[in-house]
Amino acid sequence: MLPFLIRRLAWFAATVVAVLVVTFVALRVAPGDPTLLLFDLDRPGSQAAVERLRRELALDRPLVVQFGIYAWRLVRGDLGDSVHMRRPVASLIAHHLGPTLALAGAGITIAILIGVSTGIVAALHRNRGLDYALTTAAMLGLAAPSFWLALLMIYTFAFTLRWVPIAGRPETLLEHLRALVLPATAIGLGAAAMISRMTRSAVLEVLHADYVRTARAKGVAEGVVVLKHALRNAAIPIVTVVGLGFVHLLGGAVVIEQVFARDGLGRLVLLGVYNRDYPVVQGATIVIVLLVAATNMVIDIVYALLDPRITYA
Amino acid sequence: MRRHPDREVVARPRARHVPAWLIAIALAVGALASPALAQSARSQESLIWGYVRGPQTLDPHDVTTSPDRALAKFNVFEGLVALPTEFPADGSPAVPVPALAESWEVSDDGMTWTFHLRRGVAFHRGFGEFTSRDVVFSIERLLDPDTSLRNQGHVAAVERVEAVDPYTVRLHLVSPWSPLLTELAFLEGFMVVSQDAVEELGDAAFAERPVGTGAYQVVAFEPSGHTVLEAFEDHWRGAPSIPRIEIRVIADETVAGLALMNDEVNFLIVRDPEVFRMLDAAPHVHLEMHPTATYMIGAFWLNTQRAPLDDVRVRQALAHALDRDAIYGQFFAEMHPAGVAETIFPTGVFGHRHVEGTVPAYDPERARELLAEAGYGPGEVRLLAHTFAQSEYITMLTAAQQYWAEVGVILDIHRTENANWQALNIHQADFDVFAVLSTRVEAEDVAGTLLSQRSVHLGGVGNWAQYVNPRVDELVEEQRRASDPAAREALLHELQEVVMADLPIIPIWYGSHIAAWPTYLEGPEQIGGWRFDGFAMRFVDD
Repeated sequence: MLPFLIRRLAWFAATVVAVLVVTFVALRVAPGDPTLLLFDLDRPGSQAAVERLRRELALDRPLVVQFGIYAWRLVRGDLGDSVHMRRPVASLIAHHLGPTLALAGAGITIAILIGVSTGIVAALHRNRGLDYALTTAAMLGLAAPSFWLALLMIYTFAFTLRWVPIAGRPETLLEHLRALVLPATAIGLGAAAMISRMTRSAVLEVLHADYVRTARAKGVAEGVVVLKHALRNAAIPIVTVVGLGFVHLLGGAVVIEQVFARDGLGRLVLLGVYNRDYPVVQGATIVIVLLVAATNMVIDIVYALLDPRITYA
Repeated sequence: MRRHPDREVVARPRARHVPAWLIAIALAVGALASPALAQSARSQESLIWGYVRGPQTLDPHDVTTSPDRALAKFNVFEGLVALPTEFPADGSPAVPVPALAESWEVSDDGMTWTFHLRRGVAFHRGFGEFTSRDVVFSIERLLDPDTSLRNQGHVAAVERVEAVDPYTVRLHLVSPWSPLLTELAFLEGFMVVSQDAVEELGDAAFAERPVGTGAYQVVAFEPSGHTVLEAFEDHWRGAPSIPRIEIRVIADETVAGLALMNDEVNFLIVRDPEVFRMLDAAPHVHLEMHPTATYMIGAFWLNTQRAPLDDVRVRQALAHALDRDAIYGQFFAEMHPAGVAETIFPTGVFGHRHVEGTVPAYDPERARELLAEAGYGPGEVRLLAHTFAQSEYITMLTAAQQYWAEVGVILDIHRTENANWQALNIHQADFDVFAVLSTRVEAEDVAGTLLSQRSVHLGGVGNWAQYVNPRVDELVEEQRRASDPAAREALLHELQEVVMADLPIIPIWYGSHIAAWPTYLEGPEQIGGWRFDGFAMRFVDD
C-alpha cells in the first residue's frame, strides 16, 4: 500500500503544479486587467492609482518573476490576498467551501439513492415496460441541463407551491437541509442517470454469473441475492461512476450556486474570473484539485474494501 | 398450478424493502418541505434587499462598484453634504443639501470652502461625537499617496484641509473647482469615517465592521455576500422605522424577481426586461421609474482616432442611418421613460441641454451621400464592436447592424466577457463602435472625464471616443473655474454644441434605474435610482 501511496502523492503533486501553471498563465494571457477592473467603468481610476496598484500586485514584473513570487508564498502556505476584497484568499475559501461541499455531498447522496435503486429495478425488469420507462427517464436526466432543471424546480416547488424558500437564508440545521433539497436534486439528477445506467448493466452482468445461480440454487432469498451477492460484485464500476459523478458535481455546483443564490466556492470563482482576481481563482483551483484528488483516493480505498482481491503495490 | 418456491421470494423483497425506502424518503422530503416553515420577509422586522452582487468591502473610501455604494454605504455613512430627497419637479438638476455640515461658504476667489458642522452627532458603537478632526482625518486618509483607496478622485481638488474649531473645517483647493459640492455629495461621494475607529480597528477590520454616523450600523458582513444592518438608535435624525436591513445576494435576476413576488425579498433593482414584465404584471408590486431626471446615457461611442471614423462625415452618416426613435420605441421606451437623447449629458446633470434635432435625423439617402463624399462605396466601411452578455448592448449593436447595413456599412459584433470587453474598449481602445449605458452625475464627469484631451493622455481610460478638440478643452477648464452657476451653465451649453457638431458619440436614450418593491413598503427614498435610504422607508398595510 505504501509505495502506491507515494506514487499517488507524487502524481498528485505533479498534477497540482501543472494545473497551477496552466491557471496562472491562462489568467494572465487572457485580456483584462485587475487594476482597471477595480475601478468603475464610469469612474476610472487615475493613472497614478492604477500604476501604484500594479506595483503592489507585482503586475509590472515579468510573468516568470510573478510566478516565482506566487509559488514561494504558496510553499509557505500563503495563498495571497484577494485584489478586490483585500482579504486573505485562504479565509475566503474557508468561508465558501462549506456550502459547496454540503451541496456536492447532498447531490451525490441523492444521485446514489436514485441511481442505484432505479438501476437495480431496471436490471430486474430487463427489457420490460419499467426498464424502458427508467431508461427513458435516465436519458432525459442526462440530457436536461441542470440550470434549466433548477429554474423549473424553483418555479414549481419554491414559487408556486412554496414548499421551500427561493433564496432563503438558512440558520438552523433543518433550514440548511431544506435549502439543500432543490439544488442537490437539480445537481444530482444528471449523476443519478449516469449511476442508474451503470448499475443496470453491472448488475445484469453479475446476475448471470455462476455464484448468483449457485446462491439462488441454495434457496437464498432473492433480496439477499440481489443486494449482497450481485450488487456487491457489481459495485466496482458503480463506485467508479460515483467518483466521476462527484467530480462532475463539483463543477456543476458553480452554475447551481448562482441560480439558488448559495454563497459557495462557485460564486467565489466566478466573481474572481469576472474581476480577474488572480489569487482568488488560483487558490480556489488548488482547492478543487485537492478535492478531486481526495475523491480519487477515497475511491481507490473503497475498491479495496469492496473487493479484497484488489491490492495496491 | 404448482408455484415455484423461488417465485415467491422474488416478490417479497420488492414488496418489503423498496417501499420502505420510498416511505422514509417521502417522510424526510415532507418534513423538509412543510409550508409552515417557509420564510417570509413580510415580518415587518427586516427589510431584505435582493442584489445580484454583494459589497466587496464596506470602507466608504474604497468602494466603487454599485452594490457597495447604493445599498450599504448611504445608510451607514454620511458626508458633509448629501443628495436632496427629491428632484426639483421641473426636472432641473438636484442641488446638494446639508448633511453633516449645516451650512458653508466659499471665498470670492473660489479657493477656500468653509463648512460649519452639525453638533451632537454620534458615531456608531460608542465611538464618540463627530467633530472637525474626523473630517480632516477622512480627507487626509483619502489624499495620502501611500494608500490606494479608490475614491481619491472625490477630493482631488483639495490641497489641504484644516480644522478651525471642533465644528468648523476649511478646505483649501488647488484651483477654483465649481464641481466641488456635487462631487462631495454624488455617487460614491465623500463620506466621513471615525478617526478613533479607523485607528483602533485598523483598515482591514474597519472595512468589515465600519463606523459612521448613518441611520444604520453594520452588524454582519461577508465580502460579496450577505450583509446585515441594524437601526442606529442614537442617529441624529432619530431612530429609523425599520429595525433591520439585510442584503441578500441573488445572482439570477429571474430568481430574485420570483423571490420578490413571494415576499422573500422586498427590494430589488430591475434590469432584465423579462423580469420587468413579470413584476409589472404581478399584483402588489410597485415599480419605481424615473421619467424626468436621469443619470444614465445609452450611446454609441465612435473611435475618432481610427479610420474611417476619424472623418466626421462618416460619423454623421452613421447617425443619419439610424432610426433612433424606432430603436428607442422598440427596445428601451418600456423601461426608460425619459426619452430619446439629443446630447451626451443625462437629463439630471447640471448643464444638460436638450434641443430636438441636434443629432442628425434618420435619412438613409443622406447617409449614403455622406459616405460617398468621404470616398466610401457600399461595403467599403467595415466597423468593429465588442459586447458581452449585457442585453442592452447586444440589442443596441444588432439594431445598428441592421440599419447600417441598409447604407452599405458592415458592423462586425464580437462577443466576449466583461473583463475582456473593458480591456478592449476602454484600455486598448481597439474598437470602432462602443455601445454602452453609462452613469454620469456631475457635468465634470462628462466634460472632464469623457471629452477632454487630458483624459486621452491618461491612457484613454476616461475619454472613450479618443476625442480631441482644443476648444472643448478650453471650455472644460473654464467651466471648472466658473463660480457663477449661470455662467457655468452657459459654458456647458456651448460645450455640448461643439461636441455634438463633432459627433464623437451618437446618443440614443436617457436611461434610468428601475427599482421594485411590494406595495406594503413605503417610501424607499432614492435619487436617480441608485441611492436607497432605509431611514425613509416604512412598512404599511396594503
